Amino acid sequence: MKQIIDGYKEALAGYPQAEVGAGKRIGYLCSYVPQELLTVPGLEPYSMHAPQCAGTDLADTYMGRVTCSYMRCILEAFEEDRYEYLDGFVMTTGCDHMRRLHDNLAYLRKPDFLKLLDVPHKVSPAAIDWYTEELRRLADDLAEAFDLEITDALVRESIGKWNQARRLMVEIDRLRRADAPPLSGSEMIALSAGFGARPIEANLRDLERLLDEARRTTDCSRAKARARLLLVSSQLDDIRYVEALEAGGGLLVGEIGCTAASSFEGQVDEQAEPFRALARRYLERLPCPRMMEEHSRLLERIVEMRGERRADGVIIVALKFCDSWAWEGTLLLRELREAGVPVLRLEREYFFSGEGQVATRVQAFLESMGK
Amino acid sequence: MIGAATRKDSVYLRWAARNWLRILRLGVNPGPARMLKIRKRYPWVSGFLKVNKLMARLMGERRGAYRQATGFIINRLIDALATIVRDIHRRRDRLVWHEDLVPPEILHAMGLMPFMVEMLGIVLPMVDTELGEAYLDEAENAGLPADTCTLPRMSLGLALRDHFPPPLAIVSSNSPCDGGMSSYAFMQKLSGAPTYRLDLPYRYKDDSAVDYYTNELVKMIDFLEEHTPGRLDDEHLREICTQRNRAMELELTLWDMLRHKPAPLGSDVVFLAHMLFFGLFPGMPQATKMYAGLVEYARQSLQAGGGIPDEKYRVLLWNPATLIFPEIFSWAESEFRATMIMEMLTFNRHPLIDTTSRRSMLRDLARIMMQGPMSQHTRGPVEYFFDDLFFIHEHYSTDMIWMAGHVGCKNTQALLGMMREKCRQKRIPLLTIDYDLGDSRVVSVDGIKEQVRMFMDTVMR
Repeated sequence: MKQIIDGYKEALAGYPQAEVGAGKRIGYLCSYVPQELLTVPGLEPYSMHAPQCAGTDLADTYMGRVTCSYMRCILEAFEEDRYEYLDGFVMTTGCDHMRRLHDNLAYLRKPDFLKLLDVPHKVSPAAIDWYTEELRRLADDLAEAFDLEITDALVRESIGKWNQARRLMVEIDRLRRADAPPLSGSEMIALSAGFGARPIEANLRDLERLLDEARRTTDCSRAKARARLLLVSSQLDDIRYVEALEAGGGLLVGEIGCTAASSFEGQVDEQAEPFRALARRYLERLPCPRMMEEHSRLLERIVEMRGERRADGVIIVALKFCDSWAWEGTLLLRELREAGVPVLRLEREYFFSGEGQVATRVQAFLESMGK
Repeated sequence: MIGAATRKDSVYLRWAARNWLRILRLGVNPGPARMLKIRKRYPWVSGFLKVNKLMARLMGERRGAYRQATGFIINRLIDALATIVRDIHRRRDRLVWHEDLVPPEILHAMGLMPFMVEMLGIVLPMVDTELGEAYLDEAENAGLPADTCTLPRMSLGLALRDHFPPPLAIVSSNSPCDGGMSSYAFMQKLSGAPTYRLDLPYRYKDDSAVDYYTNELVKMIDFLEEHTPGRLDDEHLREICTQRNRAMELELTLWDMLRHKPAPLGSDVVFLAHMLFFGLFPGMPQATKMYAGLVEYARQSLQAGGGIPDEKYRVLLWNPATLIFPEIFSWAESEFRATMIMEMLTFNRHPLIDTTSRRSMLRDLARIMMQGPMSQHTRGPVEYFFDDLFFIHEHYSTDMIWMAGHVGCKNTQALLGMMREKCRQKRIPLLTIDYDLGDSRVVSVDGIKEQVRMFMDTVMR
């Protein structure tokens, strides 16, 4: 199990290399991009992250210093030619910062293939129609740019693989309901965040094996954790940060967020017209705060997961300068506290820093819960 | 400080007296007892009593018709605010909160009382900065990070203190930014009112996007008819749209006059007029009357040789105006002989409304909101932002651009590098003012002045 997880950690710790993969690799940002469309024969998705980002001097010149450091780190990595083995890029109108990253990228780097998907901010029949058309246009653009054929049958086949991957991920994650979960939070985040940086076939193979092993694993030391914690976060792909959260003896038993296992919840209907089915699944998935009518659903899922996992408290972690999470986090804080749930709220920069402070804050939180 | 330097001449005194008269009329309607209750329930009402101080700051050293126009627009401002104060009680059974980019024309046509949530976040920093900042502190104490935009943050402070009149319903949208959009989940929670949210697509100049947004408006009307006593009356909507078109034609006339060198008026007059009569009371007969008045003042000013006869520079102000320092316009006139010709929130290029049918009116209202300031600049593709900026620069022959670099606006902060380079390529002097829209503790008024002086002394010398 450790070997498999280490494979995911390695994928997260590095940038795309020349020799990996068979098709044109398309880097994507945002969990609202359907990876299925980037997994048809001839293409391979790559979830973009910026490991070892230590500073953003170049990016700051264009994006300023009061914008999301994740987006700035990505721009910095572009400026350092870290993504030269990616053949195209797909982003979304996920947030103001991502849109502006797209604008700066188009201005500074002019990639041959750069697409911004217009994701509606609400879920409605009209919004699903709109997003369906957006996805069709994306498929057409990909087909034309890379000389491919993207048929409904191929998309359906891809959907099948991703559904299988989602089933496996959700099943692995559910094992963490146990008193002595087989995986820690940092291990689980390594899987869920590292997933998009590896080919789907490798994921399917490794997750099958891992699930099998995890079912047979019990780590008794975890049953003695000081507290069981639920993590609610925005983009989080730095394992060191998650390790710092768990360093004080708390154990993460569930995570909600776009790089967490929760983003794998919800299957795509394999019987329906594939583009519409994709649009529906991605819009109806457990929401990011960028969706403007979905706050209650997110809150309900947090409360539900806290119950399922018997978590003592909730930690909310957001990237600094993220307006969507700033507002969502403040409201969640208020509502969870009103409901008597112990909550710790942290802000972080994308680049790893303040390990000691994070551990101290969590430790104080555990103490405040009497743990 | 600045007000002290203002001459308390007959023009000032006449407009100040009219403003007081308008305020005193609140003692008749809704009446003194009711008014005291309103003032106790909504302490921000007291801030409006400082409107004459604001007028003094804006008048600065202006003379003639330009000075008159400044008094006139402040008088219209206090009239608008007094109307709102009167109606929050009188029409409380029809009061609907709306976000600043939701078309109030429709609410007016439905017989509802629109209450723009962001209005106080705009007005309070101008008339009573300290009161505004108290609301910011309230929101921060509730956990909202201090780096968020002060406009929705101030609204949250007001809502947390229960200083908004209770709504029957709320209508908001995904414009103009993530912060503005996200704030309404909180507003819904605190007010408990049913909420409808309009979804604006990204490439909104496409026909399909206009259709999508028009349908959103149709659904908003259905929602309001379900949750409020308001009913959409097509004839009433037509009257409003027709009036709006008239006011728009007059505004276009005014804008054309601003192209003259020297310009007849400065941008605060134009900015406040647009905010009041296209933001709060569009399509009202008083809007048309007000614009007719402004055009007349501009005509008189031109005949007298312009608002600042020895105008040396023409400035385009980009991004929301410096609300904590609204007299930046008159200050720049007296300090540098620089007239602010136009700014981002006012310049709204869109066609007149086709009043043929309900659908045609809604479609054009949709287009106006989609292509209006803020939506146009902060929700859509970057081309829309720069196209407008450089069009206005050329159209009004400005000498420089002052970018009001509001620290809470991540959207535009992330464009500053590109903007700097594009301006350099076009050889347009660019000043980026570091400041916060509604919080003078981030950068003080003196701090803003110092940045402007440095720029004028070094770049424009």
